[in-house]
Amino acid sequence: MEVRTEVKQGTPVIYLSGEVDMFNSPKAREALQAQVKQKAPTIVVSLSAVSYIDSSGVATLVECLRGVKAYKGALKLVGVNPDIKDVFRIARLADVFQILDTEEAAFGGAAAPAPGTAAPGAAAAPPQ
Amino acid sequence: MPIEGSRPVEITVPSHPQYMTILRHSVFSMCTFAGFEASEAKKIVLAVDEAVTNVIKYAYEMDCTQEIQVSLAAHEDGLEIKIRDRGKPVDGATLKSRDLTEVRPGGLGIHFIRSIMTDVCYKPIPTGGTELTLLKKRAAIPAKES
Repeated sequence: MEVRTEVKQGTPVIYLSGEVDMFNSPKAREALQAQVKQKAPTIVVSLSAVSYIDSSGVATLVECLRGVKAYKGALKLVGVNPDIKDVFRIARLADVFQILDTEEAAFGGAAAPAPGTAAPGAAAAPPQ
Repeated sequence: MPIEGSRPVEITVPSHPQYMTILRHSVFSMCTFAGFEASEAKKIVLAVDEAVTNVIKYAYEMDCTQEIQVSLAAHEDGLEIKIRDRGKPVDGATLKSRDLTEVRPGGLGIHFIRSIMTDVCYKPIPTGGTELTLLKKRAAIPAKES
């Protein structure tokens, strides 16, 4: 697994790739917690190159989410493929994370959430 | 009932997390051999991964010098996986999924295993350790109309 952090428009974007499992998740945790420690107002995590995630990888993201919420920051997950979304659904976390289709959406472009997900606090569509 | 002519595949992996990727690929291959669609196979891989992770964490208490035996048997209606360790005994009855309404890290492994697999059974091995049997049945294929 590889972890790379870039800063775009003042916002850290953490790119994870490969398998985020028990063996590799400490590397991801280190990168995410470094940003939480600095109280980055928004942290974007790109999962577009992640082929697999297990409960330790999910726990790493949940820990980050709790960290940013503690200082009223935001964690945005982008590029989440259907297999990873399935894992979030089984863990009943699909509506807890802010999941966006693309990295651009995290910066305000094409801001619609990915199909089947909703940003936390988003109002439910009224019945037709 | 096993698929005619097929035999169980036995894999022994060291109790070190770095070998999990090898096990995952083997389990995925066996799932497709047993007739599961790729999306379902990936979920079974997750369940097996979580079960073996629990062996490393709790039965072996992160002792990475031990071994874990995994047996994969394709049946006509699904896949049976047996995971055997020689570590600290595990009481299956006490392993329950936690309340998921509380968003916090940890405790998801058991939930994944029980949500994905059709049957989960922990049995002590008389000479020491635990045998975990995971069964996954394939969804019935609808009969063709004549």
